[in-house]
Amino acid sequence: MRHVAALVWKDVLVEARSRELVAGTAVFALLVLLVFSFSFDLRGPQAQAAVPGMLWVTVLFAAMLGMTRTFQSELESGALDGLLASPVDRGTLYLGKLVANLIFALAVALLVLLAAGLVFNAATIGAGPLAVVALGTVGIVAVTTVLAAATVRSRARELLLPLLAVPLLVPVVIGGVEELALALAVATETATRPPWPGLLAAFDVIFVAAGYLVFEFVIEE
Amino acid sequence: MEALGLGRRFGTQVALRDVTLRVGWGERVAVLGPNGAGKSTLLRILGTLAPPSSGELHIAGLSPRHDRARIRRRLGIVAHQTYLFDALTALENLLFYGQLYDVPRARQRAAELLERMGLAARADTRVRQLSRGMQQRLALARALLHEPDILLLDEPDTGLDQDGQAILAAVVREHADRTVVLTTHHVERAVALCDRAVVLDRGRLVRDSRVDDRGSDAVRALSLVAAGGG
Repeated sequence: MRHVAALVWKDVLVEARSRELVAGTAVFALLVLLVFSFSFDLRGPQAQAAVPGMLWVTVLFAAMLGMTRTFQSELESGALDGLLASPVDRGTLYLGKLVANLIFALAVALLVLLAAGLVFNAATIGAGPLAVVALGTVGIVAVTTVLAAATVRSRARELLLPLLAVPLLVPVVIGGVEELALALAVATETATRPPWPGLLAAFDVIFVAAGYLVFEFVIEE
Repeated sequence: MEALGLGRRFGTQVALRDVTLRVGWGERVAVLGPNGAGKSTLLRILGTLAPPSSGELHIAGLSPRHDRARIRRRLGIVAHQTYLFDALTALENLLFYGQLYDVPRARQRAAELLERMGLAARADTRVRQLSRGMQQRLALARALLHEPDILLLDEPDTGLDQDGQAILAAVVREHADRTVVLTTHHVERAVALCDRAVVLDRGRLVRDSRVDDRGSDAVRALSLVAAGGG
């Protein structure tokens, strides 16, 4: 736990000083939201049904963009080898990176919710939407952190990461959109509806555990 | 440290071929050779940062396959890259690595090392604002932080000025029971610092000899072999 805290502290401090990841990703996310708002006529209740989908696409794209950078600067500076040369267990390195990435991704997701509320005139700020976005973001970060490590030494990493991550994240997007629609009151509960919050939580647990176990094999040369 | 028949391939490229090297406790071994000879690859394998494609490696009786964490705790590595985080200060870098290596009284140890490396006045300077030579001194401090019994130094004199080289020489010589393996292009420095020199050429170990004679003839003869001419 002490090692995880040290790794998170280091990443937060580096980000606070370089402002590469969160600032760049947040601006990108806001631009995507603006493109959606220019592209669709969002007046009327039918159009509001598209808001959860647009929101998740924005969060997913922003996460992809941010995660390609997550190990890249450490690889370029050689600091990644410094981490790998240390006796710290690889699963712990994964948890440290996961928690730091989660802090950054949740900050961006919160900004997206705020901006979406203004742009789409939707009630995006509330316990329901926040909980759904947090649940989905954990899954997205759990998957992309492992895949970012797996692809960081590849020259085509910017392309490879979304190609590998998006198919794996389809359940998160479907569940996230369905549940967010409910939280935003643009959909109603039905008897046949799958228990999405439970499924999203299960996805999170499975992928965090899988990431912890496989990280050694993807990060080592 | 015992490497038996180490080989390393990168696709069709062979970086190391059947290298056998035994290094005893307290021995100081220089690895010489021209560019592309496989020196850095050998050090990465010894540092457990890359697995060999073939052969066996044991460090302090431990196998990197099963005891990587225990081996890593005993290694101090200085590589081409400094392993430092540019956005953190010199002191923050040492404190961070101190936590990863569970160094007791890490702040005190970091302060001592910064003083020794002549960086005490730069403790709160971010790494990206330090010169290359200062970064290299800090990399040396990082490698010594957890008091390793084996030092792996890959061209550790890169960017170091006269004072920095004197510090490096003192570090290499200071503990009689600390094992040091260092790569360098400077044969004179290798002869001055080490008890033994091995020469790699195109991935093969072509010479392994004790450095008893530190005179200019010995340096010249070793230079010839290390340049791939002998």
